[in-house]
Amino acid sequence: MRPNVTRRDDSLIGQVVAANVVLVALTLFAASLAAGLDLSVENQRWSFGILALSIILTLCVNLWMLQRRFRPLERLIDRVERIDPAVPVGDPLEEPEPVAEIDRLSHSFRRLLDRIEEERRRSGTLVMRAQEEERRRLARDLHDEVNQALTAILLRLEALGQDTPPEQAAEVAELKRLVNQAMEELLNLARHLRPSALDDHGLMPALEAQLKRFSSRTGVEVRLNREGDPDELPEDVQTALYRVTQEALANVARHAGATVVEVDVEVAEQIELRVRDDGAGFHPGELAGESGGSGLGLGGMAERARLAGGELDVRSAPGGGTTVTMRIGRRA
Amino acid sequence: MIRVLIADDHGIVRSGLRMLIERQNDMQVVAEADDGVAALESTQAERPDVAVLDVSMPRMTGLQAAREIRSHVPDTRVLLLSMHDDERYFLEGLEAGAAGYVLKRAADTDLIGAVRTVAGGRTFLSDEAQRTLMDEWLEGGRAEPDDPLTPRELEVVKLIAEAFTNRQIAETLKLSEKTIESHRANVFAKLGMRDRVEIVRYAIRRGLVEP
Repeated sequence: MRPNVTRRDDSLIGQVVAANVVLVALTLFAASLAAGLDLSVENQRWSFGILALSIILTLCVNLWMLQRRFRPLERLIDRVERIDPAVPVGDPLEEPEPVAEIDRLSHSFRRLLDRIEEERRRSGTLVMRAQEEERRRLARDLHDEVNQALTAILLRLEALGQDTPPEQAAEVAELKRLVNQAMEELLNLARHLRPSALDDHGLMPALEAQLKRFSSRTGVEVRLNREGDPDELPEDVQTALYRVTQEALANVARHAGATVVEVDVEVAEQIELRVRDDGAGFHPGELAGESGGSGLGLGGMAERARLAGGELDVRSAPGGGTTVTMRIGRRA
Repeated sequence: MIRVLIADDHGIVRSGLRMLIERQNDMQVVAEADDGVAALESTQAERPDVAVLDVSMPRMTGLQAAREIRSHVPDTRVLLLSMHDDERYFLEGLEAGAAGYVLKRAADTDLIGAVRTVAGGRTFLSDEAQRTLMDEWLEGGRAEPDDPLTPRELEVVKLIAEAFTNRQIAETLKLSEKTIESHRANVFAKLGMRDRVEIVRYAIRRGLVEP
């Protein structure tokens, strides 16, 4: 995946050596002219031999020194090439460089990387926030507009049903059932978009409600443990915790075949969320083929964790269940 | 004749409620309001038997209006109407002093019965809410082996859960308001709870108040 760099022909080191060869040769030529050396004279050939030897020696030393001097630059290039902005791991440009210019170059490159990462996170957070806001608005509209209209229809149908002739009573009852069903579906949709409990009551009650519904839908037993006070966390972090849990539970429902899911939320020096199931698990190798948010949705979860300033860790083994852990450092 | 106030910020819901309630021979709609503040004012003016309040209304929520009605017009029974079926929302409703909680989704089957029930001085909860609270209550059976609270504090918990204010609790227990305040602080500290809703849940689990 290396970019096309022609290393030998016109590399910096090659050009410098070539320039030096020309310079040294010219200098020696001028020196021999000035000294009045003549190749036809027998004992002066010897002097020429020494001169030629010294040219070759000088050039070798020159090449060797240049290579030494240029090595940090090559190393820097290697390391820069290894950086993948999508996977920020550690800091490959950490060690100080021996040459001032290269050290500066390394530093400014690091600063540039930091700025890019910062910008990525900032814009990612903005996008995430805008998305949550949009979902919240949609959920509210579903509640406030559509569901209220359905409530009104339901009430009127009930009123109508009270003095409907018996032969039409069944029809009215059926209409009410349909309206009821629509209301329930809308409520679920709104809740999926953005549960109002998250805004009205905070993270833990919203998680509790989510787990209860998950349990009654799938029959999987759920346990929720908390340590510290997650309801005091910033809204973005609460949302990230809620969404990662939501995604992890969806995976459990789709793939795991679990009987128990345990969710731990810990707020101490760092924030930790663990969703652990006792289901089928999967081979870690299966994750390699995964890209982005498809399949297990791990990409989406990892991105959420990253934008919240944390990281995601998924551990699983066939037959050994799966544990999804998100850790977020606390910002001062 | 049961005199009913209806409050909802959606005109179409109000008209549906009116239509259904007026069709009953023993009920009459005496006032309508489109937000919590108007609901409180109309309740004070009309003194209806039952105030049917939507939980989420502008200016003052149904919950807050229920609290105000409870303390200013104690004879009016409040019936909350809500979209939400999460346990926390019922608990908040009970904590606010509502006598009933009806899901809008179940308004066709539950509303009229609920109005009669609360007008008769009893409490009404939609099936789903009852089930949830029942679970909560049953779970309490195996918890709390050593109760950290004194009998006096338990009395205070019960009254907090029933939405009494400090002053009302002081009057009921014939203690000073200061004493009640310190009991209240102790209760919250001992149980490690942060708001009244958690107290309500605790009171239900302990069987101090009926779901």
